Amino acid sequence: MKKLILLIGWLLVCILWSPFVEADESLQDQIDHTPEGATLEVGAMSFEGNLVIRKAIHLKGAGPDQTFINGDGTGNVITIEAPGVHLENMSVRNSSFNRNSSEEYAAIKIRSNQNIVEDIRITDSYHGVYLSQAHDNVVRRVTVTGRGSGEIAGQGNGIMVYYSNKNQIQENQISDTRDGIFFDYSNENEVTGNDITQTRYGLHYMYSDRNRLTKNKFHSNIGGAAIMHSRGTILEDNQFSLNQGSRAFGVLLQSCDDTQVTGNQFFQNGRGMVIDQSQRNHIEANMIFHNQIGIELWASSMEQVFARNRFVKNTSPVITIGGLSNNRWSENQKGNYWGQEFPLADLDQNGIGDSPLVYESTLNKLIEKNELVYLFLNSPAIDIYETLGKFLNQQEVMVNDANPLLDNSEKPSFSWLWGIAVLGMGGIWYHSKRRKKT
Amino acid sequence: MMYIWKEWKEQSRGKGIWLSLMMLILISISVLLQATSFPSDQGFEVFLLSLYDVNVYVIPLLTLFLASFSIMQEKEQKTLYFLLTKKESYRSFLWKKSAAVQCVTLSIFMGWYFILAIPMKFFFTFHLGHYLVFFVVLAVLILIFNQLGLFLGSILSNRMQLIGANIFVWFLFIFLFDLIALYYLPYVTVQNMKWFSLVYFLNPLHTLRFYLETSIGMFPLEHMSRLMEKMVWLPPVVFFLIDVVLWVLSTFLLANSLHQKGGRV
Repeated sequence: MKKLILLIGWLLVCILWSPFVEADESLQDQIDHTPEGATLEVGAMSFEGNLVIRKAIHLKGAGPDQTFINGDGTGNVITIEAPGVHLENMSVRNSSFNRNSSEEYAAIKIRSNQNIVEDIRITDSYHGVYLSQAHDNVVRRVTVTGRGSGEIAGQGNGIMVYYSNKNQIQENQISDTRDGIFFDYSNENEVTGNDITQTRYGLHYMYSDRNRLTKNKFHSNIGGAAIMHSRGTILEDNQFSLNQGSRAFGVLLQSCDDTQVTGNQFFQNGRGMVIDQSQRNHIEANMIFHNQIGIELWASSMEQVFARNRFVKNTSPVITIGGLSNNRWSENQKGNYWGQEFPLADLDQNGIGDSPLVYESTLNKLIEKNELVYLFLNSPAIDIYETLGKFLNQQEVMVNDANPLLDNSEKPSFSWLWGIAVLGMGGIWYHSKRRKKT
Repeated sequence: MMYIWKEWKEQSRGKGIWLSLMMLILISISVLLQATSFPSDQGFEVFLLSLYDVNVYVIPLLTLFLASFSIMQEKEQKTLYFLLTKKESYRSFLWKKSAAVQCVTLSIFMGWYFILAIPMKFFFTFHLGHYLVFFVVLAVLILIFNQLGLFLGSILSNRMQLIGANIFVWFLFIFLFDLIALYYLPYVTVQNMKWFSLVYFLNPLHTLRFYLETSIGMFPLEHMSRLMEKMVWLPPVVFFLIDVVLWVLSTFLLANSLHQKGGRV
């Protein structure tokens, strides 16, 4: 009997015990009483928001699995008003989702400069982190999870950067929000090592100049990065992959000038890059492979330079819509690598084709007329359609690369597996013949 | 059960099914090796979709030939004649023959894709749900084209006709259908979109791929344009189910009612 009572008691403790059951309502008081420049360490507990930090303190939780700040659903969960605040190691959740308010709410709203927000987990919030006229801040290792695909329109962005300059946004993970990171009138920010997935646009830029994006991953979004009305953006060593769907893209440059797109990977996107109404962009040394369309270039875009890019196994490497403009497909005698689909002679073995590469297609006309063509780009019939277009003289020039590059170290794409298959079938045939003879 | 046993014996003694299996194995391994070099965390889903895309060329052709020649063999060896004189109707024969052909081909081919799950687990981040969708899609692809093969075998009377018909049906589904659709595409508007959508999703190759890519998260249905929303006016799973029922049932009924025209014994 005693053992039974002990067992039931132990089970009850197991069921009811939680490491963060207590709600300490005095966290705002503790923050207010912490001297400027001091560290306030909070334990494995659940605290009630909404909090406002008005002095430069270091608020440190026990970890995102242990310290929770819960908003009351009426505003921002944590608002940083003072410069020099350091916020780390906690979970923040439950901001207001009110879209009729004059303010857009967030889990963490930063209204000041030189703050550090790191190792935070954000859920159930309209925006994740909102930088509002806030400069020189660091947002690092923040995980923002939205409410999922069914709710994309009813929620905000992972990180919102509004009239904010020279911030560093590093190694954050964002998923299931409307846009991953949204830049609006914000310049000279650095976005590095972020991983953004399952959003509308992984990155959304409006009227923001001279920002630098490096080593980020944008995958499984409707669009990887939509960069609009911006100048001097640098996109370097990023990965844009699996951005599929109706009119999906890896990168969209719309009304963007002087962008540097270098060393990025575009893989398995509906369209690797779309360039529209943009001037003087420099697209160099990118790997563009296994996309439906490598680059979709609208005639309204001029003076682009494409050099040393590798196009491999795209359904169509380049589609120009509305006619050719004065874009250049080689620079300093170096064009682009077009893969084994476009065999070229290189008799002098200098790694540059002996004749220019001229790629022609009929798909541009179809794309202009009906967007549903994207549903057919994986179809085997596309090759026949292109061949018929060539036969009927309906093709138009998409690319004229005067100095196409060749990779002479590459072997012809005869897979050893096919060799084995042919040998195997030959063996079976020989074996069956011998059996018949005997 | 007797039919299944008989079918197994005939198929296993022949070389067709083993050669087909060997081709599927080689194709799978080839795609697997390519997919392992993809620089993505979602290589598993890319692999599934790539494997489906390659199989679309091969599985319809193999199953059309295997199923149609299985019926033709019954005609050539006069076994159909004996079976039909023993108080068996053609419908009953076709039902049992269909079950036998489906059981044998599905168990052999899907057996391989079941085994393939083992290397998939080693090479990728394995998602059981996504794998099961892929498994079901391939099984349905085999099911539909087997049934089409049985239909062709029923209505045609000699091997030459059958070879021509098999190649034509394969060409129709793989190339011709889409080629016609591509030329018609400029005339598609929001007004006639539903008809176009109906015709598009009547092709099982489109519907199966669309169901696969939406189910494994490779084609999000959010933020579609107005035209695309009109195009996808039913959930992909409903298009999928309609195709399965329509193709299997219609080819069975047509084979039953038209078999005498070509299938004289």
